[in-house]
Amino acid sequence: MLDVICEKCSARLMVEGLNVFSSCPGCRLKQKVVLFSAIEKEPEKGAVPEAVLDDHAACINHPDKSAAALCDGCGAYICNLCEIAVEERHLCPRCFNNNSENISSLNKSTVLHDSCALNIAVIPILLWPISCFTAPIAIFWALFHWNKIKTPYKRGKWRFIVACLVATAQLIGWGIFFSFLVRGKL
Amino acid sequence: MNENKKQSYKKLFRANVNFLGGNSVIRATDDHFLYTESSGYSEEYKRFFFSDIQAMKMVQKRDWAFIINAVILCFLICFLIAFVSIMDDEVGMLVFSAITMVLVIVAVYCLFAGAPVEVIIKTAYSNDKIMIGRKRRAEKKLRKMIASLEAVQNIPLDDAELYRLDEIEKVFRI
Repeated sequence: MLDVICEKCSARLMVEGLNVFSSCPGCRLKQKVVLFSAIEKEPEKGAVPEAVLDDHAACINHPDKSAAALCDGCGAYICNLCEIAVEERHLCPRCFNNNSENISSLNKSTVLHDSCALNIAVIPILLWPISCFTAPIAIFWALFHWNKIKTPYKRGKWRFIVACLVATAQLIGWGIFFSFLVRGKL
Repeated sequence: MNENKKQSYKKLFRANVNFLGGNSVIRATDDHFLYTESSGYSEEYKRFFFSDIQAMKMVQKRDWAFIINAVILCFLICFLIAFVSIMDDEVGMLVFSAITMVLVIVAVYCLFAGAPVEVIIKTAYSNDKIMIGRKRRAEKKLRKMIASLEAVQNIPLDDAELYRLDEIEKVFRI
């Protein structure tokens, strides 16, 4: 039986058909459902580790379970329960925890240092007196974080380049300004 | 470790979430969607594997009506102020007429683009909300996502399947 629940009031929707909008009888919120064949698929159950035999290696975490693989990180024997397959590698829970930040397919969030550098360089143009302080910060920020953005997709470095160019132009401008100031005084 | 391997993602579409630079992007690769929600300074990612997606529920949000009412109200206020300003101040008339024009453009865009739409992607493990923009374009974006799925799963189930599922004792809750 298909039970479509309203997202807002949790009332049961009377679905008139797939791929058409149906209104919730409770709150009148319009909702449309698209179904795929995986709807009938059960969640995959994890493998059950086998009991260790006399001539078999035992799992490092479960001495009574038979080892099924070697951890690609530390080389420890691991059972089916401990084995974590990620990016064609098999890791034990400890190596997985230690490396999870460096595995691109597990990356859940990232700081966009290139956008930060660009904003540090560009926004002070509106408040130009502070640009003599922010321009070096923008250049430092861009160079320090040049290779530190870990996005799962390819992200260009043009923001870093623009930030460096804008900040350099600001510094040159300040240099010219101060040189004229010093000459004027002399 | 093959840690920094970048997958080749194809950008399917982008939707603005708010006026402050927040946006969401859906990218697709061979076996999954990558949903990116960005605040402008940081990004959060969700991955939806094609073989795991059981259903998509498109929800048409209702707060658009409030936004349109608010915009129309602002427009009327500015129009009134502009009308009053005509009497004795040309600069005031110009400023408020410009504001009025901007509000009119926003109001027309809201009416034309339709209500904001979010899609709930149901897998066997979770239900996740993704923002895909306004209704008018959202339908096209959803079709793009479904087209990507067709390589792995069968085409979306039709109404005959709906009746078949209704007859099964097991409850498929969406």
